[in-house]
Amino acid sequence: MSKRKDKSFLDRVTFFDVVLALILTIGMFTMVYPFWNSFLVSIVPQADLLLNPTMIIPKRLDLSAYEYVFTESLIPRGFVNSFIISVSHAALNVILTVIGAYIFTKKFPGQKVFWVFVLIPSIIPGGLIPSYILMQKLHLINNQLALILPGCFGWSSALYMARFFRSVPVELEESAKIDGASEVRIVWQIIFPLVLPFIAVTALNSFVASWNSWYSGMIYMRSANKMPLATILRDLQQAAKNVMTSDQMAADGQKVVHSEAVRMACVMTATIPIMLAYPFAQKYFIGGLTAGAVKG
Amino acid sequence: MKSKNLEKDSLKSRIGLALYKYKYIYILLIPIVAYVIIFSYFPLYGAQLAFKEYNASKGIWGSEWIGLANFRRMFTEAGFLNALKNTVTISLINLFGGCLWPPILAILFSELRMTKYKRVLQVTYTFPHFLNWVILSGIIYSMFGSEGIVNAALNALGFEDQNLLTNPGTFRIFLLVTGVWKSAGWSSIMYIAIITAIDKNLYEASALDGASRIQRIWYVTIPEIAPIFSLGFIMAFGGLLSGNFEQIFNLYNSTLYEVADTIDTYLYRISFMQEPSYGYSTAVGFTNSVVSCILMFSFNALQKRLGGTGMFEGGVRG
Repeated sequence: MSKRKDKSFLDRVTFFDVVLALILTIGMFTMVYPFWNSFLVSIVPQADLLLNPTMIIPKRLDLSAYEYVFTESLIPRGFVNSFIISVSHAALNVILTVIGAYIFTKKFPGQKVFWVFVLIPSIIPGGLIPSYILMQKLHLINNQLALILPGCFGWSSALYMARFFRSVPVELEESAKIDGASEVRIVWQIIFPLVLPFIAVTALNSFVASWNSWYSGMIYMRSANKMPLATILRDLQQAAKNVMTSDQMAADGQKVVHSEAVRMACVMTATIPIMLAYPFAQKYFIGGLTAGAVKG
Repeated sequence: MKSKNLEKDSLKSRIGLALYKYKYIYILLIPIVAYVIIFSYFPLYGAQLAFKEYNASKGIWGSEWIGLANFRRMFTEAGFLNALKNTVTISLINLFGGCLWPPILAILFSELRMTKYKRVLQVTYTFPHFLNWVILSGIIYSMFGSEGIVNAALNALGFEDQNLLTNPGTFRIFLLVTGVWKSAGWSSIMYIAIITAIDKNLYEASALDGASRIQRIWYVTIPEIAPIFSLGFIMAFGGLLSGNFEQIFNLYNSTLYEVADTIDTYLYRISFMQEPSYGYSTAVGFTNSVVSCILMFSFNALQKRLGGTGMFEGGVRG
């Protein structure tokens, strides 16, 4: 009886709930519609769109834009490049972060020195030009290593992971030591499996960050067929944008300007895989974000 | 004499012993130290170019010292002063105009009872966070361009064309709105986590005392999320000079330099588009990172003085 009363207090659907659902649904429309509109531009014959620009449901389909994207454009090449770059970057990032985090959890002579040594450059970075000169000196201009190597070790992400290393009970380590396990074995067989979920989240975040980055691709890469997807996509948009705002035509005029449909087909080709994967990956991202907050 | 030798020996053996005892750690240190020296300290070493006139054939070390000339040039260059002003203005607009959306969204989400629908909503609202501004600017240009859906709808309703992409008067607000659209959903996750952790008894007790839903939000939920909100708000001032580079760089064009050119976009243009002066570019970049660092520490200190925990304690303690 009392349970039912509680229910009526807190769980009764009221006018408030209806308004709430309505507000959030309108919000969702503004989140979804831009993607739907771009999708329409990419699959509907342009004549139809000119006649009826505010259409929601298409009457006829025209997939020639996608045909172009997959056969003529550099987009498929960009996918391959981005995949290679992002996987390598994420792998290297995870290896260095795990090593750094493990060192952070240990006491050893020179610990303070090491701490300050890695802290200084992460609070005052050298900047764009010195990094560019570094890449020149390493002869990595127009080499995909220039997109893979930088940014693989960060003080803050190592610290973040060190927190999870510390959450492994000390007793577990000690009893393994008593049983005669070596340091390497303790790390590999005891600590590692316990922190694996956090390592996976670090890898995932690092992969996404690398996948989404376009700036380094823009400044370090020269040949279009070596560029990551995001940079290729940007070049494509930029050529059209410059015509639209009618400036820098001279500088970028030689670049091919595609139709709106082709550009949106490129954008959608880049978006749809993420859209399909995201609902399944979301909980890992959220887990990674909130685990740190709740533990801290 | 003898004792001195002994001391030396013991020091040597102490070091030897430490090296032996901690050999795994020192071996593990090697890749990290090597990586940090190459990829973090070399750029820091290169930052001396801020005081030099870079000459590629002479290298960083051999280039000529010119004192503070690069810095003096910075404060006489109209482009830099304009970029500085815009960076701070845009950051402030985003800070004040954008800070309330994540907590509001979090409250709306946590009040919603339809669990399945809530999941769908959350996936949708957080999705744009995972796309880069290259993709989003493509979508935005297609919608707001002269032949886009927005102008078509305006025409259909009898209004005149609006080109928000080239209008200096509204561009900063346009940045704010598109920025909130991209990231408010994701930023709300942190608040949702906090609200979920609130003791349910608090709500039940206040409901029994006759508090309405609005009153429960006002007296229970908001006081619980307020500390995190103020922490985030104060810390955000530390990022005043790190403007939304990726967003602006993909959305702006030369008609908007006066209102939207920020330090980062300016730095890109002077470094890679016109005749570059590496010394001057380095000075701009390095000033930016030093001032950002000072800002970050000051607001961190202010936050601590106001009774919060600083960002560094959390890590060391944890």
